[in-house]
Amino acid sequence: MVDVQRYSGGHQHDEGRHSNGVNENRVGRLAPYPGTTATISDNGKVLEGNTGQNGLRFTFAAPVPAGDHKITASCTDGKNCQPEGPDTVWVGHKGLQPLNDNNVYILLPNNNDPKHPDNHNLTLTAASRMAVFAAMYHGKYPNLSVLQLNDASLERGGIFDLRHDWKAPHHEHCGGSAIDIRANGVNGALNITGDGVHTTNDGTVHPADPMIDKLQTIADAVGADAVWEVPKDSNGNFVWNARHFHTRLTGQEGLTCP
Amino acid sequence: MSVTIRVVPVVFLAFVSCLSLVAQAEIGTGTVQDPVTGKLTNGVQQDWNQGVVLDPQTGNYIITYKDAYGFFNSSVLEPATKITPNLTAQFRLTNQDGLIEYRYALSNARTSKQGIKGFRVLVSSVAPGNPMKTGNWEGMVAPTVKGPNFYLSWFCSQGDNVCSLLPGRRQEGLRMTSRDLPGISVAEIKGKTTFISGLVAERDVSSALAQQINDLTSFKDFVPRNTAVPLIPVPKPFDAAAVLTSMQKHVNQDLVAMKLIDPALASQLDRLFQTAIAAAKGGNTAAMKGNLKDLRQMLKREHADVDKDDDDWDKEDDGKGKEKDKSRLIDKLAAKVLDFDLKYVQKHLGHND
Repeated sequence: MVDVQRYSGGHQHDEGRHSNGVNENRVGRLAPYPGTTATISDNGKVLEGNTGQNGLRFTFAAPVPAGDHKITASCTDGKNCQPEGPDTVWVGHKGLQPLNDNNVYILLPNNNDPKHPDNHNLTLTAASRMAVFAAMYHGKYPNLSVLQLNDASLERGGIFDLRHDWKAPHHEHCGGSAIDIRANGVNGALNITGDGVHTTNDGTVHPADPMIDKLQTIADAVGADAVWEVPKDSNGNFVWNARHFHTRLTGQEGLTCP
Repeated sequence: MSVTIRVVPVVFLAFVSCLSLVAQAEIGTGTVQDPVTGKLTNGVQQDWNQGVVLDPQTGNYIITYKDAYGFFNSSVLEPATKITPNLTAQFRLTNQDGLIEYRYALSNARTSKQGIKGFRVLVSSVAPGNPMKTGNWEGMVAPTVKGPNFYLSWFCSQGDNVCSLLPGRRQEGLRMTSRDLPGISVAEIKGKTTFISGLVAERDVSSALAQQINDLTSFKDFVPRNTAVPLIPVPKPFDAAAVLTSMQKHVNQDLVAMKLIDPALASQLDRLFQTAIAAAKGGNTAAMKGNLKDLRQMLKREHADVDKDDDDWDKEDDGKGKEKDKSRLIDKLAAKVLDFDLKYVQKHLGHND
């Protein structure tokens, strides 16, 4: 039997995590190893079979959220069984690391989402490129506040479920290759005053702020791609206060989410 | 009785990509971007066809997709490729301790629909203090952080705004110096877009449609042009074998992949490079000199004026008169670059041309 361990993989929430409906893919799934026979139930959480002389071999398919998966075994004939060997599968993206503190950017604490407290994880290449990007921005605009960085990836990547529902509205934040640069003017953040297409808080559409072009030009120069973004809420309305640059740091690498 | 459980985690992270059809008609609610004003209108109910459509009038793309919340979005994407650029390069050895000066001229065809915002190219190194600012054109250099190379770029910057090279205009004098010898790299040239797309992020990038959108807007959103840039490192103290090995690799890997040299000619050059490198490593200067001479003669057979110096440095290359060279076994700029590099090595060996 397999189940994911609570609060593992960077998720400080557990509700609904252990169910494994056909279309949910929240917990890893067991299956007979090709060429062997075994019975599975509970959509792959439970596997039954005969160990014979050589043991029972099976496969494990990882789910979309990262996390530790404990595999437990017991005998079905009432005898005392003693499982041997490793029993936990580490699920996630290898090679992610927390962004270091740096005087050319500010790491924003994830106050709005305490259930994902560790949200600044990137690959080494992406982290280095972000540092170069921020340093070039600061060098060009030394009188402005340094860039403020928000969501990148969780500590092991995988699905970044903003609504704590094990689904993925936060696309491209799974593989440690993208990060959001805050642009809503809050607490000294870069303040994009208009983009010529979205309605701002005062109900008007303001002309495009030249800083959009300038920031994107610096991104071009360092090999990144700063996509201007005003996200929508679950009702389909734009949230101007959450405007930011969704910044892809390593081309197409790592953008594909589960 | 003890039972041994063998855990065989065959697939650790089997993230599954879902392919979606590029055209799917569906009734729903969503947001529409006006193709003329760019304004976004929310709460539109209609029949949506997901996909990417090119507007032949404007050259912009209309993309329509369904987001993670089930709402539709129809957005205008203006590619940065509505330009026909010409980028010419010149290079020469300066009098300053082995520094090589590179100079570029960028022009934008009258038929282009956008100004040129700038370009970026991969280089091996630039000398400190480079690239230099020229008029409104600001040069930047940034480590790629992936390998030893750098991104060299020039972008148009006027006061507080990003500017552009208008159609029909030409910008000369983009220059820099480097200790490294020239090779051929692809400059990624971008037009200046005027349209901000309101709906491009936060979509499922694993879908075929999203991939198509990303290709159009982000990862292939430039016009490529081959150009000469510092790519062959020159060790200090000078090491002929190391320089020739870098050149050999550049020919066999980069120039062949870029289809700038016929593979048969590349093989012939490779054999001569091999013997020259062996001679350099063995300290057989006379043999190496002979190999270098043979290499240069091979290039000269393809382009008779390949060894012509840029003696007319005061006049920038206008890129004209190059069509006639296209049928040769090696691109003329590639041949010129290789000849320059070989001549540089010869010079270090005390060779008199």
